[in-house]
Parts: sequence; structure tokens; C-alpha cells
Amino acid sequence: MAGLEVVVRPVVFPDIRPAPAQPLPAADDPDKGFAVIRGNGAKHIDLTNSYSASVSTATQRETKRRVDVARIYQKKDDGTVNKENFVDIEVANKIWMEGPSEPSPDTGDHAFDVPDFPPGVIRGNVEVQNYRPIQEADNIEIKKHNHILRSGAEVEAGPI
Amino acid sequence: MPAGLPYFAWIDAGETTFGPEHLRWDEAVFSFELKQEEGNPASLTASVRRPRNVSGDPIGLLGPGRKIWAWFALDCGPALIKFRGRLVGIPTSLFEDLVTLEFVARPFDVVAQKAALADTLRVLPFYDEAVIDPERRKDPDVVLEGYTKIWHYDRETHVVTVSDEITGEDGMVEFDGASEDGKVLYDGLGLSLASGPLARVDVTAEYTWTQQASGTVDLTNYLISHWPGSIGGQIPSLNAADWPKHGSGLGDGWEVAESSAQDVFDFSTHTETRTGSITLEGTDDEGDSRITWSTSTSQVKSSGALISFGEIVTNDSSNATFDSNQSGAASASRSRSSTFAVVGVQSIVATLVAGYKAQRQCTERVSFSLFADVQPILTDPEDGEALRIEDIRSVNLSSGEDLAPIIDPRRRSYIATERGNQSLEHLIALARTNLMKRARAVEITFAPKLARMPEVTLRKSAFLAEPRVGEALGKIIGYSISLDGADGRPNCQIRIGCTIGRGGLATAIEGTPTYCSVDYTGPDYQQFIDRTILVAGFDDSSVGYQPPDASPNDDGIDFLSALRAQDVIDIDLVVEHGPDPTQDVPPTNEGNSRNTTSKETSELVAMRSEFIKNEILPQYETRAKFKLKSMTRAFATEYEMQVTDLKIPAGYDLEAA
Repeated sequence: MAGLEVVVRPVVFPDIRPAPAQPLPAADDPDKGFAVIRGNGAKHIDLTNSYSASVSTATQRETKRRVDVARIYQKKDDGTVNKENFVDIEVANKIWMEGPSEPSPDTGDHAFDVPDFPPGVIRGNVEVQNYRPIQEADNIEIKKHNHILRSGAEVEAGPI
Repeated sequence: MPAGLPYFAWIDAGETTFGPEHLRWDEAVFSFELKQEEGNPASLTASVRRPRNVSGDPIGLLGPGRKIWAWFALDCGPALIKFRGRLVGIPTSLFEDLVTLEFVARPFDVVAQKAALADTLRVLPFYDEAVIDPERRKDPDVVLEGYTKIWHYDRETHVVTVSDEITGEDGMVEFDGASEDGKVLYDGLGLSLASGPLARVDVTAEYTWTQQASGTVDLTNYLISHWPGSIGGQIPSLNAADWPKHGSGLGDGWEVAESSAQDVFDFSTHTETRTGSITLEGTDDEGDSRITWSTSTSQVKSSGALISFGEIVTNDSSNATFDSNQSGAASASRSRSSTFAVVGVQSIVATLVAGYKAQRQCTERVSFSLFADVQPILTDPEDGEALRIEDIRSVNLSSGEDLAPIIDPRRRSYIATERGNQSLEHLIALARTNLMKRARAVEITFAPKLARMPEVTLRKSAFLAEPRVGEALGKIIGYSISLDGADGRPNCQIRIGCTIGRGGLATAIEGTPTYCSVDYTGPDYQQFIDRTILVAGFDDSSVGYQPPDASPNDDGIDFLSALRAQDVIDIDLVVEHGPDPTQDVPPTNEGNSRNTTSKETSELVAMRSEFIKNEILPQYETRAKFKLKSMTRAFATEYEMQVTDLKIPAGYDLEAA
């Protein structure tokens, strides 16, 4: 037969204890509270290269000229002029030359200085060159002034 | 005056000192009973002849202007036993020749006296306000919870004191059975068992505080050293913009206190364009030759960390013109364009300092069983009554007052502190109080001679030697003295409560220090093994305990020390990247650009862009995770404290009875 049971009773105090603390939260959730650093260090970069080069060869061609027609008499050793003996010549005082077009202006960056073109070499599609007109003398007689000659054809002279 | 003569004097409330002028008979006392029980004020019940005036007409006892205070004294021979009280209640038998008056020796300022006395008793370990509801701390009765004491009201002065329930503090009244005055009357002797003693008290208490701390921890070196592929302090596959900014969250109670990040590489592009021309003056026949060129090249400023995906030629054309019409002009040109795709993989140089603000609820639950070393009343010593004290819980030990019990809210343990030990001793005091009171299981009543009664108060113990009961030592818990005019015999009675312990003292054990000799640092500096200390507040060496060592069941963070990264890392850094490409690199038209149409070229460029977008870039997606120990979670630690058996005075030996 079992012995007398231990009598256990709770003590009853007046209500003097502090209120219970807040109930404990659930155990720390292992899936929460992480520090997360996200990112992508890769970057797509498109690079472009381009290259262009050209070479042109241009030869100027005479298109017309303006000449003075002159008669040159023989001048004897004694200084006299022999009117019987002469030659007629055409002396150009202006020549029109046609050549390659002037290059279009540069717009890109220059890695180095572009040299200036020498004056008179190329000035557009048509170049005009003026020459000193022939001068009259005792044995030189100008027959026509400013006579225009086109390449392959002769045109009338201008007024003397 | 002969012994046994009573005196009765109506007095004013201010006559608090008994003098010869009070040896008078304002009323003819026919019978009386003066008694006092433990915890209560003394009372006097007196039957007096109905008061009459000089004309012989009855006087109303409750009439206005009549005195209600009275001195009562009884001549016991060597001395008077005196009582001062005030009339309470309505006298009974008002219209008979004998009326009964009830007086009580209760002070009118009992509340104030108790409050003042309670203020002096709020000392550890008997009173621990940490486990008292703040609303109840002013209650004077609550203060006695940890004491084996009870309120005592002096029957003459009405001074309220507390008196120990085991041992009287005002000395002992001896009835040795040998001397003439030491003998007690044969009649009136009685012994009873008030109740069975408690065998043990099981105590469970809960101490709670909010662990509070704030500070910073530099995580830079930890992150760099644990980041896969980190070389030279650089963290790969991230942009500076990806790095956590100041104030952003890092976990429970954590945020970024300081951070910095700089990209290592400059992936911005720049385009270099070169143009040039040269004119070669020709001979008269050949004319001049003009050569012009132009190049445009895009490049990334930083050359490192680039992955190339080949060249796609988007245009490759040439042209030649001959002088077939004799115009004098001939030309040749070539133009080529292509696109390269590269992927730059950035790295950063970064720092990260994490700031924390801890608010963690910590709880320590302490349990122990205190066994009483008492004589068995029941046949089986194992059978006994146990008491559970399990509702003890503390206020928040770290909040409210300037001097909160935890003192430093960063602490991981409360009960291991000096203040915490005092809380434990208070628990022992609670258990001890219950065991001591219930150990006072034997009550002996006896009838002393009248001459001894003036010595008797409820602040004294009494020793009784009587052949029928043997020897008994107990606290006087009640007395009475009465006299009836019918027989003229005074009846005296004393009741004592005797504890049935075995006596003895608990023994302190120095234990083994775990750090150094006690002489070197003193007894309170280090932890001990098997150390037992006595509760200093108890002057009877009745119980000792082993102060538990701090063993918090928490995450190991010690806020009292400077925290390092390894102290606060809960789950180590894991860095994940996106999937590897599942497709081969898309084709280009390298070496075959002349045979590629414009449409085909566009398709190739689009294919390459899609491939980089969908296959290459994702593999560098970086997701780094680590977990810092929570600064908001709660912890609970269980402690089972070892205590010695409670030694209880041997007031009466039941086994010898």
C-alpha cells in the first residue's frame, strides 16, 4: 500500500506581484533578419571603331585664255625698225584653269595640324591666273587686245 | 493593596503614563478578562455596575462628553499588570445592573505607526521591491512577507513594533518547575498540534530585464576576408551604388552606422577621332595627289576587368574613280566601321561599420526547494506537506528608477550579481518564513501563577519545565487573565508556540576558487565550486546556499566588452552569383564582313546584345547574405539553485514526548 501522498499546495499571496512581462516572442526565425547586399558589377559596353581614307589625283586643264595679239618688227643693228620683216604673236594676259574641287572643310578632331595649302595652287574648281600684258614699243605693235581663246576654238577679240 | 484587586480609571486620551492617580475605582468592576493574541492588540472585557449619578439615576455610557479611554490595572502581588484602552462598540446589557464594556489597546495612529515602521523594514534580503508591484510597495503589511515577524501592539504604550514568531526579542519568561514562582498550576495544561509542519517549499521566481546597449562593430575586415574572390581588399562583382548606405537596415536592431564604397574601375568611354590630309605635289604631267583619312575609336578608360565579345563589322566599303574622260581627276576611298562589345566587371573598395541598438528581453528563472529539518509528525518522514511559491516575478529590472536593480542594463545575468544574490536570498527568506511559521506546530497552554503575569508580553519567549510535557521553549503567542466576582479567583493562561525542529546550524563551505586564492582577491571576486554561503541577513545561521554562476542561455554577446565582428556574426557570409551561361558565344562576321549584308549585320549585333543581357550579365548578379545576432530577441535561462536544509530551533521534542 502506498504511503501517504505528499500534499502540495500553492501558496496564496495577496496580489502583490508585478504584472507578468510581455510573453516571450517566438524563437528567432532563422530565415529572417539577414543583411543582404545585392548588385551586379557587370556592365555591357558597346564600342565603335570607324576608319575612312581617300586619295585623289587632280591635274589642272586650261579652259580658255585671253591674249593680246602683237606684231614684232625686225630691229636692225643700227637701231632702225624694218617694217617689212615681222612676226605676229599671241601673248596671254589671263588663263583660266580648271582643276579638282576644293576639299570640304574638316569637322573632326585633329590629332595634328592640317597644313595650309600654298596660295594659288588650288582655289576652287576654276583658277584664274593673270599675267603682265605685253607693252607696246617701237618695234612692237599690238594688233588685238584681250582676244579670248577657248580650248579648241578661237573667239573674237575684245576691243583694243 | 491585596493581590487580585483591580483598578479602573476613566482617563483622557492624553494620559498615556500610568501613575498613582490611576489607582482608583471609577467603576465597580465585577468581572474582567484581559487577553491578547499574537498579531492583535490587547483587549479588556469588563463587567461593571451600571454607572449612576449622585441622585442614583443611571448614566448613559455613550453620552456626549463622557470619557472613552481607561486605565485598567490588576494587582498581581509583586507588580501590576496594566492595560490602557479605549471603549469600542456598544456596551452590552445597557439596562441591566451589570453592563459589559469592551476596550481595546489599539493605537489611533496605527496606520501611521505601521507605515513608519515598515519603512525601516524594507531591507534586503527580507524585502525585495524588485518582486513587488510598485502599486503595493507602500502597503506596510507587504513588508513582512519575508520576515518571521508579526505586528505587536503594546498594551500600555500602544507602540507598534514587530515581534519574531519564533524567538521573543524581549527575553524569556522561565517556568522551571522548581522554584515556587516557576511552577505552573496543574490544571490548565494542554498541548495541541496546530498543524502539520511544511516539509519543503518549492520556489520558482522569474527575473526580467531589458538588456540595453548601443554601439558599433566594424565589419569591413570580416566581409573582405570572407568574400569569395576578394583580392587586395577589393570586393568583386559589385558597384559602389550597390553597397549599403548609412542608415539602411542590416538585421534585427542593426543598421549601417558608417559606410563607404568606391568603384575600382572607370568604365566610362571616350572616343578619339583623328583626321588628316596631305597633298603630294605631282609632276607637270601627273598633277597633285591629295590623301585624307579619318579614324574614330571608342575606348573604355579602365583597361582591366574587361571581357571582349568580338568585333562585328557594320560597314566596309571602298570606291575608285579613274580619269576615263580625261578630266584630270581620279580618286579611291575606303570606309570601315565596326562595333565591339565588352563586359566590364566592376569591383569596389568598401567599408562597413554596423551600429546596433539592443533591446533584448532577458529572463532568468530560478527554482529551488528548501527542505525543513523538522521532527516527523507523521509516521513516514517522507510524507509531508509541501508548498509551492511560483508566482514570483520581478518588475523590469532595467527600467524606471535611476538605480535599477540590474544597475548596468548591458548585463547578461542578474542573479549572479551582488544585487541578484540578494534577490535570491529574498527567495530563501520567503521559503524560510513559511517553513519556520509552519514548524511552530506545537502549542502548549499552561496556567502560571498570578504573580508572573506582569512579566508576560507577546514579545517574549517562555520556557516551561513541567513533568507532564517535559521541557518546552516557545514564543508566547497568547495570554489572558480573568477574574469573576462570583468566585474571586483569578485565572491566568499563557499559550506558547514551539517549533519542532532539530536545532543546529547550517555550515558555510568555502569551496574551491576557480581563479586564484581567496587571500589574493577576497571572497567576492571570482567563482567558486561547491561553495556554500550563509544568508547574511539571517542571524541564526539557519540556511545556506550556493550562489549560481552566471550561465546565460543567450547568444554569447557580452555588451560589457568591445564587440568584434566575430562576436556578432550569427550566420557567416554567403555570396551567391547568377547561373553560368547556357549558350555559346554568338557568332560575329569577323573575316567575312564583305559578304555580310546590312540586315545580317544588324541581326548579329542584336543577337550579341541579347546574349550579353540574358546570359553574361546574370552570371555576375551578386547576392551576399550574412546574419548578425538579433538585438531584439528574447532569452530565458533556467537556474536550479542548491540550498541547505533549513535548520529550525528545537522548541519541543515530539520524539521524547
